[in-house]
Amino acid sequence: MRRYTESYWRSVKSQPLTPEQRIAQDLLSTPFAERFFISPELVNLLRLRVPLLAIEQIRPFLHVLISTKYQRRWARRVRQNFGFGREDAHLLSLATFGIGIAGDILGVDLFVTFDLKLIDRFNENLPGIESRFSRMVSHLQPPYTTAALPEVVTPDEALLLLSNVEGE
Amino acid sequence: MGEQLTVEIEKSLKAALLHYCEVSNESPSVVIDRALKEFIVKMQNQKGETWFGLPADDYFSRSEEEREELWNRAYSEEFNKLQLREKEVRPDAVTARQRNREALHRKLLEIRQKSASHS
Repeated sequence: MRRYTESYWRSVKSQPLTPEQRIAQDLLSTPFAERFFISPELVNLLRLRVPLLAIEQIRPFLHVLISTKYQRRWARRVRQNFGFGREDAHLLSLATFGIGIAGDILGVDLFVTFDLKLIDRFNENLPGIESRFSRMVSHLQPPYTTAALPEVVTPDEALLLLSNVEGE
Repeated sequence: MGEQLTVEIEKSLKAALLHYCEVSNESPSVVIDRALKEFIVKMQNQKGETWFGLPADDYFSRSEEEREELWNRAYSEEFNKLQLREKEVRPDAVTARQRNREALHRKLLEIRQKSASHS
């Protein structure tokens, strides 16, 4: 979201974009952009610290993921067992146990981040994370039993995946 | 008819609000609506075209790392401030990943293999 808001601002001012800003712009130009979610903390950050002109552009994408009752528990486990920072653990867990306003879809398909360290940590620990997750979910009631971990990907990978889905 | 919002306020604040409404002969809704609008305008004026309180030129003259740090610090502040309310999921809710989970994972592995062989 940082790269996208920055890219919009710089485009308006006819300033060159960094490669990351360009990718962010490409990603939010896909037909899937209206199915993107951000966290409640990021909504507050944007409202309070980023110019309105930039926020107006991202308003269509400002769907918020809201915690469900197992989100905090999973965030705690991710943090304690796999060494993620608390914000990262919170976001990963929100991507698994978060829901939109309508409350009809649990979790998301893709967790998109420029943070390569986070992606590496997730992939290195994936077998452990999956096993811990399966154990936790098996004790829950439906529909939480169907919860699934997101794919944790870079924006480049997300673009490729979405273009593939688009083509199907 | 406007939207409804239920909020909790301190007892003393409520007493002050009701006293004001009595004196001004206005309903609490009208007074709160006006106060909120004034607050939003004030916030917008304060923020203007600034990024994290910095003029845009100043913000964009900073390095990628410095800007990242500004966002990270602000995110942590919001994270500490916000007390997330939990929402109950609908019993008929479906998991986002239910439909195309396997296909998406396979495709991601392909992308990563291709990327690894190129580098």
